[in-house]
Amino acid sequence: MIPLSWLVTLAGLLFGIGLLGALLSTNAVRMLISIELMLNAVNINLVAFSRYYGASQPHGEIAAIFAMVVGAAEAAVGLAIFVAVARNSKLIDIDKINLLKW
Amino acid sequence: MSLEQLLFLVVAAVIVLAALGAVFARRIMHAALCAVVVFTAVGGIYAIIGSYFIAVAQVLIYIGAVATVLVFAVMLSGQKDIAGGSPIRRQARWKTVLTWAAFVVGLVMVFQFTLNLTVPASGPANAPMAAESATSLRFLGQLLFYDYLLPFEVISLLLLLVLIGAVVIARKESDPQ
Amino acid sequence: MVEQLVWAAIKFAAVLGFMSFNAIFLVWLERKVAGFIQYRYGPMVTGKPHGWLQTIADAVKLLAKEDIIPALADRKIFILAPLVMIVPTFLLHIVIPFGPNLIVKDMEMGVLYFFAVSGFTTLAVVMAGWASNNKYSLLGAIRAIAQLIGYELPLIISVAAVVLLAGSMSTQEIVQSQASWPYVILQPIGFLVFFIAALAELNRVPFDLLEAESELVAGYNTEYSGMRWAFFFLAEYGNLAVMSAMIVTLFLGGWQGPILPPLVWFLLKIYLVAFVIIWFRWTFPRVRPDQLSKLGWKYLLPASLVNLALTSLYVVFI
Repeated sequence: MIPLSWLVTLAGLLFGIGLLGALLSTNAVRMLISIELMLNAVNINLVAFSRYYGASQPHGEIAAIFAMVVGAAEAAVGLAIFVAVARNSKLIDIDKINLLKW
Repeated sequence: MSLEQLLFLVVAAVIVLAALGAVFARRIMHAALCAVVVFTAVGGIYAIIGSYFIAVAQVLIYIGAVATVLVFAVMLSGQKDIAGGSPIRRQARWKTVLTWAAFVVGLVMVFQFTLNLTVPASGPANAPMAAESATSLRFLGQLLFYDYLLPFEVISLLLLLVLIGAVVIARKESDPQ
Repeated sequence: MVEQLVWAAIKFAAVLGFMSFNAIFLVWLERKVAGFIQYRYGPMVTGKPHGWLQTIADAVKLLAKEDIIPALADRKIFILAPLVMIVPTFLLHIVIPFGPNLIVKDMEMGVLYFFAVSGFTTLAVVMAGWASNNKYSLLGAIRAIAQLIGYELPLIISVAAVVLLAGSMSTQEIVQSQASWPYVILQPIGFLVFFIAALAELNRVPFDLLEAESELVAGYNTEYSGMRWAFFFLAEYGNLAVMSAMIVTLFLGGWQGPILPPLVWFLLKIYLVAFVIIWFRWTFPRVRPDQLSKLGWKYLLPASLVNLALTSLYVVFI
């Protein structure tokens, strides 16, 4: 049996690492990767609490499924934007993307 | 320590190391592949705690869709990697890292604290194995299509919008269509 | 505990044996079929009747070859890619029902598991193509993803119709529900869509765009040789066999059949489907990438959606 505290600690660490990446990186793709890591951390918590506190009513798992779908949708749109940006300026540096239209 | 716990620790270590790799790897392709390792290992965590459907969904969505799109974008954007140096911002690095470390410790502490506050009726020890996995999948389906039907439909609408939006955004403007 | 370990070891060895046998047998079959279609004999010299030892000799040669890694390749990813290719192929065999009780693990969501795990294949191709640092390999990798976007949706939606009819995602239960009629009769559109999409998933002609010899040398495995290339090859033919097995499980009644024992029926059907796929290779020309996308999005996807809608109506009202 895995103690719930282990799962929660893992989720906290993963969320923190994702946040670090999202705040510090200048590359937009890496930022998106970091955000996906954070989403995963949140999902671990949702599923863990759902399993340990309400196994007969897995509402948390449903929330995790929705979070995954939204995460995938976000990745698709985000990366489409980066591809469009990279076509115009050679580098996806978020500090350099300060124009709204090319 | 049981075999299960040992397995959990190994997978958790893989997750943390790969997540660090995703943030700090020099080449963006390595970062994307580290993220793929994280996605897979998180699926492993779900399987270890017995949420098999979530584990399979995680692999299906994150490996089949997100990872592929990530890698595709890295190749299509065709950018040169930031040569040498750390990928993270240069300014105020120490201050940032210290703040960040404090934040993570605080986050984990808050999590643990709320854990002590919420006392489950059945106790966390026996709950997960109480639900038979066969009933779990059927139950999950019923929950999704009765209680959560409206969110489900909204999500499907969102996916359609994303599909169209991504095509419109990524399309070259000189296209005749 | 010990008994469990022994069983696990037996299952492991059985799947490994099945995979290796397929790689050897299907390559031989491919060369023989190609030969007969082109009015020649194919391999005849090594092994007496009909060169049956040829592929074994080739495998030994591949394993003995020098291990070459290009100087400018990304070493770690280059070495990892064949493993990412072959491990999922191995894991795919877990949910294939070879007989009423002959299955490694009958999972509740076996079909979903199958398609989740097969997603790693594209990733492996991309890793190989990117790490090789060769423009042909990279083009092959990019095509792999473009192809994936084209066929993945119809593939899974056509499976959803079968799952609806069977009322289960367990492969074993899907086979059992086909006791009276195989789903190829109840789901002709679904079968057609699934078969075409499966060809694309397997990267077989007419959809072998990512290794199109005439344009891309060998696509993603241009820079691979010896042992690592053998891994790709093993995975490719392992995938061919396991996808044929999935087609048989979902649409052709699995191990069900009169007189002969279930295992024999199942293997017969698998190799029949594999034979048809090989036959296609020597009959059809290759399509262009845009033609594949057009086929996937404009024909297969609507067809599979209509099929799913009709099946839902059937399940609800009849």
